[in-house]
Amino acid sequence: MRILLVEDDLLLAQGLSTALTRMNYRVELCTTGKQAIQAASESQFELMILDLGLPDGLALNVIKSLRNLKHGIPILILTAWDHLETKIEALNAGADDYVLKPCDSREIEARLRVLVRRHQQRQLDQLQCADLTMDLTVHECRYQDRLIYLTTREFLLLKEFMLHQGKILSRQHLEELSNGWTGETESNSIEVHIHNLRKKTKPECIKTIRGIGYMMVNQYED
Amino acid sequence: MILLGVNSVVLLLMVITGFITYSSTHHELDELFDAQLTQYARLLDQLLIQNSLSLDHSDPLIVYVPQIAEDGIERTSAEERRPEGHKYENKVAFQVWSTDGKLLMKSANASDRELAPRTSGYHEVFHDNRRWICYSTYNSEHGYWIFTGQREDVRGELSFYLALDQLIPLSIALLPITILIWIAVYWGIKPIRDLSKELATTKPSMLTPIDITLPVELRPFQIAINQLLKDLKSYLVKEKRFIADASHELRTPLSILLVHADNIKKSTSKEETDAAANAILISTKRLSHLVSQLMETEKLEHSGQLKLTSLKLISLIEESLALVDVGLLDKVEWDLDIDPALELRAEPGLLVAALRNLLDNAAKYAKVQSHVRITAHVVENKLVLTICNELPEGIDVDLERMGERFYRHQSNQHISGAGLGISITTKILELHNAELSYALESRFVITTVIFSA
Repeated sequence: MRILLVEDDLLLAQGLSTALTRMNYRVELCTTGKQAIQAASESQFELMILDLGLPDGLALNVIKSLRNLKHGIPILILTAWDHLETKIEALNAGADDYVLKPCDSREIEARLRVLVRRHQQRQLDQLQCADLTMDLTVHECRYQDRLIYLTTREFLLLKEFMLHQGKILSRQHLEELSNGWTGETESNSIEVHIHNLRKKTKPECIKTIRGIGYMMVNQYED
Repeated sequence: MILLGVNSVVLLLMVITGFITYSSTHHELDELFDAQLTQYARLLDQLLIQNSLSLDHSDPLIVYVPQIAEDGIERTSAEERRPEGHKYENKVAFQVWSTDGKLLMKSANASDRELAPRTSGYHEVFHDNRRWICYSTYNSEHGYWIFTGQREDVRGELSFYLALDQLIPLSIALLPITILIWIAVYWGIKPIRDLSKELATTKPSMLTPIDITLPVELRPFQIAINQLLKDLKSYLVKEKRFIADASHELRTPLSILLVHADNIKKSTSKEETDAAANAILISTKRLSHLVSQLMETEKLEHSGQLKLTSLKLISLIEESLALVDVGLLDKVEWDLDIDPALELRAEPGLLVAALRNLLDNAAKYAKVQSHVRITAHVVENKLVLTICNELPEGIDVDLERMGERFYRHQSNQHISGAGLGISITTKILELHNAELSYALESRFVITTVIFSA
């Protein structure tokens, strides 16, 4: 799951990024509203964490611009502004939740999970695809009731497949998810991770769509 | 309380009046009765001289005095006047004694002892535990003493009744006087009651001026209260703003501490621990700097008039430059164009701190090895100080937001500072009756401080 963190305070951004990465999220950082709009328009993110006081002005304009562009990305406001009017204005502009600093990273993770769940119209944080189950709250994956060990990138990719079952995920999106903006970009890294996932689960569960990407099939032959 | 006070004063006045009346009446009665005693003695003497009364018999002549008992019943004067006489006759007595000590004549109520000493004149003596005022006179030609006397309590009683007669109408008038005073006090203090009601309903969150019509005497009081309310309101607004600003600005460093502390707890590598520890260290420094700046701002918000002294501007600039961080001092070339004779009135400690902030900022937002030019000149009796620095490539400044509390340029977010420096500087300059402004010309930021004469 890719998250766009828009925070001008680098120390806080780094801390949040580390915490969320440990919780198996891919976090990309923007420090201005302009960068945030561009990033959200060009890349696919599951959620945006947005600080209201950005160097290029109040981030309300970022929310309004994205909503004007019909961008449905869930937006979690993380801010030091504790004014009722600001909260109402941000929520009215299209924000989905409002968290006041200082805030524990676990609360932020729980809230963003709720937002994504609501956005994907799911009831639970337990994903299932045939014999494969994934618990997003405890970051665990089981195949035929056996706990399977996954690396961070494998977990990220499998979660993305399970969140979007029956949909084709482009190779570029999976690469961005796996490597991030600043990560390694070896041409065959995705193939390696998909190969490992197939080995740890069932080879048929992830189908290769030649020239486009990959897709998780929820009905496969055992 | 007012009513009680006024009534107490009236009562006290009545007591004093009663006492004065009693004393004065007593004195007048003393004079009157003393004269009567003398006259009785002279009359008796004259009667004895003219032999109209015979004193030759061996037994003393007793003059009848009716024995009318005092039963304590109050009667009218007419009722007291009986055919046989008056009960008060018992209180007046006389005696005539021969030189050799023989009682010659007396009123029936007088004792058989000599009524007064054998010395001519007035005497105060006690008979049967009662005080008598007596008069003694000696007829040397015929050789006898005449004593006339009157019981003193008659005089006291009369004085008391006369004083009482005067006080009774006053006492009767006390109740209506009390009621009238109460009404007068009630209506008189109505504006004060209205004022206190207004003050009681004034909430700390509102503190609106008291707008009621008060008597002229209470107007200064109303003006003073309204001024106090206005000052209080402005103080509370400042306090509220300070708390809001402080809590807003403290939230981010606190978040950094919280997030990185949690990261240390869950870190799996030394690199992660070191990075989080370093972030905590930087954030703690930021917090500490922020808190001290907030305190400084708060202090300035409430400081009144400064104690200004005449100082050379060049000395102040040099002192301020000496305080600029060495790294920043070496970052740029400093050009000074200031007339050494230029003087201004300032509080040196504060103004140096303000100028240091301006110079600090000029260096921070200047291109490496560029020139920061400091000039000063007098225009229309005003001292104009300008600091000009060249912006580095890729950096823009929002002139409108500079000087706002907590505004920090985006390129400067990662280094220490809370954006309060310029805010404090502006406040210090305001206290020096100086105005701070910024202008941008091409890539040059021109900071201007105009000190009013």
